[in-house]
Amino acid sequence: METTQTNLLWAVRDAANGDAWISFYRIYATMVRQFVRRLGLPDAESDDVTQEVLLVAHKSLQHGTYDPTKGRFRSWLFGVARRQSLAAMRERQRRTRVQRVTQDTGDDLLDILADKHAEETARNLWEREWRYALLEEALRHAEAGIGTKAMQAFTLHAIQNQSAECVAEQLGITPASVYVYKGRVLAAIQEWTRRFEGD
Amino acid sequence: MTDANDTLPCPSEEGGPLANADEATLLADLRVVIDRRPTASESAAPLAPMHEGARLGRYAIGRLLGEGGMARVYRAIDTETGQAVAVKFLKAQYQGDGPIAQRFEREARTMATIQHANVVRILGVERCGEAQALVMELVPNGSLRRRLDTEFQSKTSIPLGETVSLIRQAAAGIDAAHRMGIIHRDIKPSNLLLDAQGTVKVADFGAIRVMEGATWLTGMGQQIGTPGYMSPEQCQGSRVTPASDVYSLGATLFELITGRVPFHVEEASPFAMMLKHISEPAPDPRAFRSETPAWLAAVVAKSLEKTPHNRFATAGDFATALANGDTISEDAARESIARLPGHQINIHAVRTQLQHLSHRAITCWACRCARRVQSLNGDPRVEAALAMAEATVTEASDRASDTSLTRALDRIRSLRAASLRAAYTGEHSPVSPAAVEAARAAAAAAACAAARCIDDASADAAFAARSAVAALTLADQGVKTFWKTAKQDYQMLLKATAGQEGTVGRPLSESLLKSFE
Repeated sequence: METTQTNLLWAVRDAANGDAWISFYRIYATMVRQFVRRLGLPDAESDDVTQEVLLVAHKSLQHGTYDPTKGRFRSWLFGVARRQSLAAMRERQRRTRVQRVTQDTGDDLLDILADKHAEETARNLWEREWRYALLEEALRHAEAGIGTKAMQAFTLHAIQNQSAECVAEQLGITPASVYVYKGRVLAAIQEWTRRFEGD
Repeated sequence: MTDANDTLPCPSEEGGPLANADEATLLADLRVVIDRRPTASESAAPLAPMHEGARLGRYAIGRLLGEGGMARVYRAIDTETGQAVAVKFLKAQYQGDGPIAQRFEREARTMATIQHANVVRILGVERCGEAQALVMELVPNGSLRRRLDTEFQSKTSIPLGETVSLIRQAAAGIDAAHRMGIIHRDIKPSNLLLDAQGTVKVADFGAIRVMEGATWLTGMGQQIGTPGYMSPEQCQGSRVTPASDVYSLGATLFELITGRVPFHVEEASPFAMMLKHISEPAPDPRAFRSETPAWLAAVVAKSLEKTPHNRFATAGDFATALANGDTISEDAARESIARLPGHQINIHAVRTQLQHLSHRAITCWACRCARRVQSLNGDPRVEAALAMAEATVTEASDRASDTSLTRALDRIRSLRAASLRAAYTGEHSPVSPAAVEAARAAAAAAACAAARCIDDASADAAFAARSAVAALTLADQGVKTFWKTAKQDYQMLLKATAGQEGTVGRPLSESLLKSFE
């Protein structure tokens, strides 16, 4: 089945479809930037790498380099992001002539990216950032489409773990409404993210 | 570095259907997402406690009319008189008893004493808890900026007679403020409003006055605008006088006549604009609108003089010159235009300003300039200027560790090769746009070096700044003079830093010195 996300990817191929590119950019920029930052590149360089990765992605979609039948888009993009991050880190090491940057655990960042065995770690990180980026976008859509009170009830009760009674009192609604609002927001988030699962 | 594996809750089934993720995991992930969002202090400033429908003393607040860096302006109704007014609030972060809020109130009270047909009337200052508000006359017909935009869209120009009248009125209003000892500091089309009768009203005095200290340079981190109206002395961080407002009004007059600001930079770069305001002669408006009378071109030239005392002595004189314009003799006009501003520059001021520019901003601009050069035809001076740029950047980068700097150097090197090829294949005019552009690339690179050097070698900075200026004048002076100046500067630099440690002012290599010959 062709998912909405696939539609989005196809829409990005159409140079005239600016909206598709904006949506695409918002989701993937968040993901790539967080991924690269967590690998340890400083903010300024993370932004550069993010931009490079997204440009490569955009061009590839336009020119058909990425073939949807051969795998998920984000798996393909992982390869792009990994190569770009590796290049940026090597350049940084060469330039700064400092010792390799290590994590708190003592692992070498370059090893994580370059070593086949360590690739799995990076891939896990990538998948995690994908999920967070999707949820961020889903939350954004929920906030735009659902009333303020419902979002407040959801945040206080479901996110901040306040009791339904306490939240109801603060917002001047019944505890039953708090549960209804929570269910409504969760459903909206799940419905939105479901559309992207095939990607 | 944060290890995401240890510190973050594990997301649900990777790659699996999110809809099936259990609720607890979904909520845990959502908490991470929400936790990562910028805090209130990191994100946009909180809204002032004012909003449509609120009440401030006798004023009922209506819709938001506009928003600037420090304040928001609402339409409001005076419930006692039924009069529509404009109410301006300092944004929440500037309210309270801080210096900005105090100056806001003090200046507002001073402004309230100005009674002039061409200045927006201040009706009072209101306080509502911590919030301070300035109640002003409502000027309904938009600003000259809007008028210019409308003309631009319809591909027309404001008639010259009307232009003269508009600026003459503005000058009269500004003069009234100057007489009260108040300098506007931010005269530009968007601060000149039009009332229902088409009368110009100068607005935004108080707010700008309180912005002292937050110059466009220090504010560039947030927004790189186009400071197209700032006087050279403002650009240099020198004392601002009424003549600064005259310059800004002159720049506004130039734009009303020609539809463009006097200086144009391809990329919004405060550094580029700064150098132009300081060192580049203002163009003749007749180059863009040929029917501009000579006397008007002379008025523009005089108002845009680089040295404050060469401009009109007061805004009142500016207004008078516009009112009596067509009585100015052609000879006098010619003489005034002939005395175009030169390339005099205050190196110390440039150096001071460079200290405020981020390395990254300068380098980005260098790259952009360099890209521009790439698209132009070859000229030996392109090669020369780029070689200079490369030399300065190379020297600076020896102790630098910045990707963008390295990229700038790479780009300059590739341009150098490209321009060499081009130089051997084409004819070159005596002064080509390519040479000018290349000079600017060199200037940017030199400035980049300056920014790098500034930490511990002021002489290096002076050299780089001087080189930047020399590069900018390359098109006028010819390449020989340029090299001579640069070489002299560099030799001075070597002497200045000889024996000093911890600077980048180390001796230049023989081969590089030879390349100066």
